[in-house]
Amino acid sequence: MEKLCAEYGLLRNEGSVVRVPFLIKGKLVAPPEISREQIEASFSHAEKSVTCVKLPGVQLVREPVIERKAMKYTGEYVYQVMPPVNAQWLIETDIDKLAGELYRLSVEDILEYLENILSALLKNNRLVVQVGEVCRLTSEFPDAFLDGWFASLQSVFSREVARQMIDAELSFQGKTGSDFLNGWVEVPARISTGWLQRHARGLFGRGTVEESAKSYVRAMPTRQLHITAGNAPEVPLVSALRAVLTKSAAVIKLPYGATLAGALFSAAVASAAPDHPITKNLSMVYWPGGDESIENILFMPDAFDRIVVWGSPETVASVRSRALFTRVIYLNPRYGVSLIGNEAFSGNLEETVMKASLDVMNYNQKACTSSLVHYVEGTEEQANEYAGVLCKILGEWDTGIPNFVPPSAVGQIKRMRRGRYINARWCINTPGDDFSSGVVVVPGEFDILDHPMCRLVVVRPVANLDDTLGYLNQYVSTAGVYPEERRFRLRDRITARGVSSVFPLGQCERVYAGMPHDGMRVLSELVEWKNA
Amino acid sequence: MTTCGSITGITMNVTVTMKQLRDIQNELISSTRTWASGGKINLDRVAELRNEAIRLNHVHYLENIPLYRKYATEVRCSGNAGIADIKKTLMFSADIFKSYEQTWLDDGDFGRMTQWLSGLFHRRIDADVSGVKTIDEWIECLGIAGVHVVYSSGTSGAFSFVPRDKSDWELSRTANVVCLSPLLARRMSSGLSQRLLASTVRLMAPDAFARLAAKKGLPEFDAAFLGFRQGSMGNQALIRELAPLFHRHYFLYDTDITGTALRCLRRGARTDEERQLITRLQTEVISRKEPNYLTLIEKIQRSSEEGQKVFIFGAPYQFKELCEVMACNSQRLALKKGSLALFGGGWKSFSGEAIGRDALVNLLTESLNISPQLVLEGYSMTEINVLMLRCEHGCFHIPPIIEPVIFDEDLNPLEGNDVKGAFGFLDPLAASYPGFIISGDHVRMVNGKCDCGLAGPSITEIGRFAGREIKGCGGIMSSIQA
Repeated sequence: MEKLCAEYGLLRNEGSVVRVPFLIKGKLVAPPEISREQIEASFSHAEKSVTCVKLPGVQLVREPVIERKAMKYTGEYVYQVMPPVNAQWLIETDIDKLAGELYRLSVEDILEYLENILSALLKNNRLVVQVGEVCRLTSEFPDAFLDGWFASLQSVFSREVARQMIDAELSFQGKTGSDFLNGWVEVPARISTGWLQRHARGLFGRGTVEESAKSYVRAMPTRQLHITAGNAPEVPLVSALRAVLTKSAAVIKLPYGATLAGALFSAAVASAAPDHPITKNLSMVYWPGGDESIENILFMPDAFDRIVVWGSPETVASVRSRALFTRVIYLNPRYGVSLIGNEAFSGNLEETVMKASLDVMNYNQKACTSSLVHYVEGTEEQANEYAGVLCKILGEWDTGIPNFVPPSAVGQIKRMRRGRYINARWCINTPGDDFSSGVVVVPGEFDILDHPMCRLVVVRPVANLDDTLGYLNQYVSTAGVYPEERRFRLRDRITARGVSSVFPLGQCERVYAGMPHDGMRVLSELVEWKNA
Repeated sequence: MTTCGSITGITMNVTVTMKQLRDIQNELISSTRTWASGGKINLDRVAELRNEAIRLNHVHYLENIPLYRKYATEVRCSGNAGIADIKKTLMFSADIFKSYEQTWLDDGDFGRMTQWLSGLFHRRIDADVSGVKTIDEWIECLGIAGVHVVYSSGTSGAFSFVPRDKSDWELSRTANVVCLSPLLARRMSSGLSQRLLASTVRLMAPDAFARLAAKKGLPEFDAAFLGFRQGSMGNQALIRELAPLFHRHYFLYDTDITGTALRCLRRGARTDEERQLITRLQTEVISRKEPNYLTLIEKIQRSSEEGQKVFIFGAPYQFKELCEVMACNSQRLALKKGSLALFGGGWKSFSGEAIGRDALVNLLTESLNISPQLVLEGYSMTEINVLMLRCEHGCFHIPPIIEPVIFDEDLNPLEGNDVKGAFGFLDPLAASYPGFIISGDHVRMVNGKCDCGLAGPSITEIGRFAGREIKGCGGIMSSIQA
């Protein structure tokens, strides 16, 4: 893998230029050579907001460099050079080939494949570290988060995790998911002979259903297009893993801001298992989201059996309106909340608030499970007290894990303070005059679209935790509740309103293999459940 | 924490004389008239006047507008703050006009709403709101107390309420009349009446001309408004001001639009009464949409047959609907030469469908015989006191009354003659409410001499920031159909 990358000059930072390969149906495609001068010239007339330029035969992406200590833009860029994408290359139309090869793989084959890939990544740790260092230059996530994610790669691709995901998410009628993914499984079913059978017996003296008739079910793989989001760097890898586990002929669209991890995975599969049917049917590519010259072809009826969309409201809405004839799995933009019972004020408030801060720090408020709003049961004074303690603890997090606050979030916080929330009580940490985290106590309704998602907590005082139920709906993914008795008492009423998970306060990053995601067992949605 | 102005405590020792401010405002309006008529103005002198008015307003706000004072105190800005400080620190998001709690409206607590609005107004609002049950009754009640409130709504249904006192309102009317009249005259063919109009605007005092315009009106024009007969929302408020100027006027929906109905539409009805309100509104704009357009078309036709020119005002998508209804019914109208169309309210409907400007202009020319140069477009918002008219070269010229400010992503003012960012403005005519506003619009602003002859800053591109609500009457009206 290292040799392959070295040979083609891939995935290394040379003068702030990184050559990023794509995987197209198992073939690692390297980008063409282009000089730094040519790259800079291509962006020279582009506005600051332009992140991608397409030239004949090459795509150029730029990401602003963030100085890690101050967590501020330096004004420089890291440029990624990528091959072009042709949508037609990505679509698989030879269904018999899939049925005869990829779809026939056993679960054991999949697990072995993953082991190979993991082993390749571990053997090429120097390359992994090198890619990690490039990611670090531009990542909006703190270094500590990045280090944690790279360290967790091993467990994500482990045999045990993979097996558990398959067995849990594809289980049916008391049998494990592996059985159904391996092939047809007889299911205990009392077959209803049906109305016509009874008539046939009357007319012809016999029916066509034998007493010994059996029913079989199979989890049939599908052709999948995954449009991933960059709010968490592992999203493209989670999507790739799901595609691999379901033996999919898959295309993973890498997101802006998280292309390198996907490219690293591509290099691993292309070097460790180049002729494996999974590799030969896997593509990992990038194009600027919304590019109709590509997406209109990929969204055509029958190009894919499933489209998985992660992303911003705009991305989801855009796909929803265009992919009318393909089954789409929406991993919608959602957010997390915290419900703090009044018991917090009779116990150790600081300890409760510290727990609450963990759910805020979860992906730096960027993930759908991150807590953005805290409903505090009590008086406005108690809410203010809670806010004060939370602000102090967030300040400590800022010292330990410095926050990057993008200019758009800085602007949004100014808008909030000088606008709709001017009457709210603001408590913010501003080391060196710049916002790093804060808490705002809002007595009335809060419009979640106003939230800047950058370590700003909206505290809403409520007389009773029951009062929060009116604010919980399908757009809330996770609620962290304190104390436990209140969680158990409220969990049915909370989840009945559309919330997917109700966890103990401070544990909203909880995840385990086979865990339902957004109310779904996603692997089960990615396969077709067939009868025979 | 940074401070602005040479702070010696927040107590002001400068008391604004309103007369001083009014004199400067009038001088700015006169300069704007000259500018709009194509005359030469001393831009440096106008900038000085503008800055002085802004500085006086700043002190006036500090002394009299509680929420302005609250924020200025928090950021330690004194009465001595300069224009640069004000631009950097004391410009407010337009959302400040929705900084009330939604539950107050839900609960019909108009006492608290009034108290809140007082926080944004330069004097305490003493209005007896006991017995007031609806937004519309509240606005009427405030009107009696001398507070003229216009509202606008976004997709969330959170209304912005902008309060003005009578003198601000009248000043705004004068400024618009003396600014728009010569601009319109330039767009019409060079007939005698147009030359007379231009000369009259130039020669008369602005307020006298505004009074004359109101008295004489536009007798050769009838007006068709693609809106409701009555209402206080954005375009509707403008319709109410414009309608009496015409010989005859008529509306697409010959009924009132109420704030309560609009709010229920966005936030959901809670009572039978509210459900009925929505049903009535939906019946009018959905079930009876086509008959209403047909009735309007008949009226336009009658005006034309009587030799009247017709002025049509509405949101772009409404013009499109008008033309579509005409096409479906195989109708074409040849309006009298000199007839005008004025767009306002944004180019996107809530469904996100963008309407192409050129295509719409062609459609209007084909269907109504309106000359492309008489298809006008205005850019404005509830919080600003002048309308910016798009010239034939595609620029929305900012009258010299207004000090525009473009902000970057982190809301710092940008300098330059060709800048892109959030559109903000310091409006010297706003004395009764904070007129230092940052909108949710993302624009490109250029500065210089335009081929149309006007000089100064103009806006050449307008968009909305991602994630910000779609605002404007066009959006609201089209959402009813979604």
